[in-house]
Amino acid sequence: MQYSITHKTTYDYGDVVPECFNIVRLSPRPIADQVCESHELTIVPEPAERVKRTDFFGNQIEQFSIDSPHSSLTVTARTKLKVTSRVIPAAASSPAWETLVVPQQQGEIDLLSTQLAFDSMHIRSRPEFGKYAKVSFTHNRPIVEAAIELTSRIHEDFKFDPEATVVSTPVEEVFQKKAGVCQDFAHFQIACLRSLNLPARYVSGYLRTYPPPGKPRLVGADASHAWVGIYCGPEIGWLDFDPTNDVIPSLDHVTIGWGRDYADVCPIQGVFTGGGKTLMSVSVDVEPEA
Amino acid sequence: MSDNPENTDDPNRPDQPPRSDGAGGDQPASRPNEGPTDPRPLGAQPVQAQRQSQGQFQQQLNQLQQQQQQRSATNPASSTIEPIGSGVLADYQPAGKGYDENVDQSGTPRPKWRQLDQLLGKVGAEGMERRRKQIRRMVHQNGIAFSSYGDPKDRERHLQLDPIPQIISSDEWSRIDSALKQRATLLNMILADLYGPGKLIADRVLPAEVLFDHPHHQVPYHGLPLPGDRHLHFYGAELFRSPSGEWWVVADRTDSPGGCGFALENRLAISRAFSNEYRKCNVRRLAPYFLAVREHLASLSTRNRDNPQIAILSAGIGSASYFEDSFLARYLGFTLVEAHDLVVRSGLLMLKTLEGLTPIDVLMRRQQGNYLDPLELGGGAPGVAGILQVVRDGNLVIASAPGSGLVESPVFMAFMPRICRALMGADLQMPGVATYWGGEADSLELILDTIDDLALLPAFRQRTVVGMPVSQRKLVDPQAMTRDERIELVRNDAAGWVAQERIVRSSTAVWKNGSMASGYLSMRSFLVAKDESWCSLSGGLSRVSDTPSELIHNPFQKGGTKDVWVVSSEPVEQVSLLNGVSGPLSAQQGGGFLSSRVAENLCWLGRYMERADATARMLRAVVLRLTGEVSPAESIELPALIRALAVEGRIDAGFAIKEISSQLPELDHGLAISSLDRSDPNSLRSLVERISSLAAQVRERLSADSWRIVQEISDDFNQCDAEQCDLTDLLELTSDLVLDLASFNGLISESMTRTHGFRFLNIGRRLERSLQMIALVKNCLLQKDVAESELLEAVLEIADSIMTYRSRYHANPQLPAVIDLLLSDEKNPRSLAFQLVELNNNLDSLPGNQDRTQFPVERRLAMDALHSIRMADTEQLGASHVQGKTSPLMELLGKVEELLPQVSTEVSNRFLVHSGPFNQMISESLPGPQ
Repeated sequence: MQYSITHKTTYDYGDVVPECFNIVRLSPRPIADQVCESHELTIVPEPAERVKRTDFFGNQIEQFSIDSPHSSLTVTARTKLKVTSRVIPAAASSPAWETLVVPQQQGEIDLLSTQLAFDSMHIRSRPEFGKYAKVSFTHNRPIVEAAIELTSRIHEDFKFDPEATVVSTPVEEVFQKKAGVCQDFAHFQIACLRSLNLPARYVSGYLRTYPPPGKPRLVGADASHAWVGIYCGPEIGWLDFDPTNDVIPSLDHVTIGWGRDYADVCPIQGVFTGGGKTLMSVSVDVEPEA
Repeated sequence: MSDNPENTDDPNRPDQPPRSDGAGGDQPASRPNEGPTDPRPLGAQPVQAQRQSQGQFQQQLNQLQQQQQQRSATNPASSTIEPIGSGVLADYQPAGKGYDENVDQSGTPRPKWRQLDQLLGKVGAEGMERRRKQIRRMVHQNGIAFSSYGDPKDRERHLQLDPIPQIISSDEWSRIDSALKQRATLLNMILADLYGPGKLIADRVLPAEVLFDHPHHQVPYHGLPLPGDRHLHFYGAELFRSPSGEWWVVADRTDSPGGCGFALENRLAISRAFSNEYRKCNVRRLAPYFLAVREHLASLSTRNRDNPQIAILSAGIGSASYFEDSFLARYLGFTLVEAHDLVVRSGLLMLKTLEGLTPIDVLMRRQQGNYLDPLELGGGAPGVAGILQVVRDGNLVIASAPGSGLVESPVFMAFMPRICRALMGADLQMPGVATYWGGEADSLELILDTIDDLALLPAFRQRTVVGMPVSQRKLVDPQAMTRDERIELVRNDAAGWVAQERIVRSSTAVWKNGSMASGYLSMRSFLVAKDESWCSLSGGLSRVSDTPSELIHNPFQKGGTKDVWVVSSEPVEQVSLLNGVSGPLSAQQGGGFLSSRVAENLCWLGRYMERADATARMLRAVVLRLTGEVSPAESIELPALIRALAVEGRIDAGFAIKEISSQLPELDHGLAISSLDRSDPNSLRSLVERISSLAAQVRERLSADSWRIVQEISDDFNQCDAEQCDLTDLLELTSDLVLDLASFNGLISESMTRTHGFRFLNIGRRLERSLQMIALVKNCLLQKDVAESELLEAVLEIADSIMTYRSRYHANPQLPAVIDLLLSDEKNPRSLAFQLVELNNNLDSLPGNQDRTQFPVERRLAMDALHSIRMADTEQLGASHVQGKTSPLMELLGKVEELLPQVSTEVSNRFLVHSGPFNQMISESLPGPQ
């Protein structure tokens, strides 16, 4: 599947901003089933400095700073890429989930997966999350099977409601309200898995949207998306699950990167001086190319 | 056993096992809680009784000599020792039953102590007392304080320095030195591993949660390209001596260990007070350590090897370590900076100076590292956005590296022996206090079983950072809990706690209330990285407390300290420390740039000094009239003066409304109360407090004598109780303040080099003195149609111009002449015109102002003010005022009064504005398509 993606973020400041420093995470990560053909980041006003690097989790990020006074900032990412369909392993033959509990009982400890079983800024393990997960994570059940069921249950039990939560709503409150948006569902599912000491990661990206039958696709009406990656053992590796849509991501999902939670992969993060009241607007367009 | 009556009587304490003098060599380390758990002081009753009843040193000596002989008779071991009757330790009784630093179990001074014992014995009790006072004065004058300056609630927290040093023999020291070097190397290896390959976790030496559940673990610290893989540049070890005489580590300090500055200040005071004794004892110097710090930091610069720019990053005046930060900056000749003095530009870390941005190559980090970069680490604490990327680019070395504080958490103490074997293939040379982590099942069981014998500590050390929430674990005090509560605490959050064996520290002699007493000792040692290894401070900061087990991990806590002498049998290089200070170190003094923040503080210091001066003069004039020959009720000028004070907010406005006669007793008292009211920011006391706070922040720019004046001013006010203060006291207080400020100004103009710093101080002074003069004339002279000659005289007195007036006019003061003298006479150093001339001159000398083709805005504004005064016929204006037309003179003053704050704003905008606080960008919300 070929995509042309435009992600435009605009900040309008009520007051002059003398300087700002930012980290942008909008460049798709090169992974097995996704090839990035072009990626271009346009920043207005022109930054004094720009530097690309790879972060701790292996995501491609760009840092920039502006040191001349400005009252608005626009960051536009234009990406063309190709997504190939993912191989989905046979759920029944995946390892029993208990064998993947951290810390592993034998051999050398795998640091990357192990660290993703621990609490992070937005996600804390709780017995009640573990209890919710245990309904699907029964004794010796293959992990992929259990994860598919957990994904479906969250999709069933939780109501999609953008009004119910904000960016900083804690997982505990999401669980209580049983409502939220993709970020909340992903955080909750990760919290469930980590409460069982299983490694899970937060994946950030885009989703292809389908217009209602007979209607044209609305340009710029898309949004960033988030789902969950679960460690399924050394053979399968990491497998993604989308609790918002109850699917295993494939051709419709475009991956930007992953981390412990939203804080590690937030599309634009930054600090600035001055500024007064800030208005932010985001428009995302995920255009499938024939 | 402590209720055995024999214990208190027998000085030889036969119930104690024999102990070796010094560390136990290769014998297995004994556990630190082997000693008695309740070592109540073995007060040798007869001696103390004598001391209290007689207080005569010689008589005491005689009796003590007798007692000593008795001791020798009952203890064959001590009979071989030479007579020690005249030593200072002769009447010393160790507080505890554990190891004593000064005497062995028979009460005989330890060999390392014999020489100093005799020397101090010769000093005598009175001599000791005199030197204790000298030391206290020196400590006070040097400002060895760890509280925030100018914070009224935090006063009088200067470190107490005991006149009796702690002595460590050079053999013993070499063992400590070697062990601490090993430990510092090990801690650096742990950091390099945890922020790098993570083998310790992969190989199961360290549980994963020790890193991943660590509240200060930050992923941006991973993979920073640090030269030589060196994270740790400064290491502080908190040590105590166990009952067996061995040194043990009780805590590691790896983030930004504090205390070496105090150690040096202590040494300066002790070596001055006991210069003779100090010289004779072959004490190793401290200066080589500080030279090593300099050399090491200079060697770190990758970008600028020939002339590296090194700065000390301080958390600022509000932080406990500010004194030490500024002391180190002065001593090492580095620039003292705070986070908001710094900015990242073109991939470099830049210091904002008056001349523009100057790159910094090496940052000695004294601010805790957790929130150093608000861009990558978040948080609301002050930091420098983008600084970690500068490190990644290899353009900056931060020492110690951000994140080095990770390993000072007590949880690591539980793993140190294991880690040492894993990483070094060796055992720790110096044991640590036995520590158990609740996160390990076996340890948890042990903790719960023996919880009475253990001290609970949060497993992860979380520093409190201004602006950040306090850790919940910090809010509970397990030591104050019942047994059940402690068990509950550990059960609920096992991985959050460690338990340490309760330690019994060694006792040591201290000089207290004119005689020898005893306390319990802990010692902090300091190391700095040097090439591939470490250099230790041959000495340290010892602390003494009254209880044997109290955990003192913080050198900034209130309490007593001791200088630590490492003594050699051979003479040490005969260079006194003082020569060391003014010799090699300051000869290299660089750090010539003036940061914008320091310039601003100097400007404000000048302003507050003038404001305090004007206020003190005005108050003094009022007090003189309240206590003078003429009855206050009949004083013609008094109501105008009181009104002027009230207008400026120096006293309660109520005093200005009522008749003087109707409120005399209240006025007397109220004047002092208002002037000394700390809660009122306009009171004289608040002005003085601002002066000490500002002076402390620019201390590296002030001479020692100038600093002393500020200290004295501050002391005068602190000693003054508002409730007790009568008019006579107030008169003295204000007169002293006027004099002190005059001497300060005198010292400044005689001894401060004419750098930009001097100019900013002067700009502040001239601005404020102008405004004060305008206020004086407006509030006192122009409020009535006719200013009586008494009032004119009072105003001349307040404006310090009465002598000039008299010598010039030989007549009763008249308004036109007074106005002329105070406003436009450029020869009168108190006149408004004189201030404006000086202001213009100083503005002219600011950076960049010489080569300009046109005058900068602030200069034009200041010239406008000066010209307005010069062009006005002030005498004529004064004369017209007498006829009741007040407006032209008021207008003129109003104009200048408006121009001056604009000058101040323009100067501030051009030279002083530094980056404001950072705001976090709002994040994109994720509705997520469905």
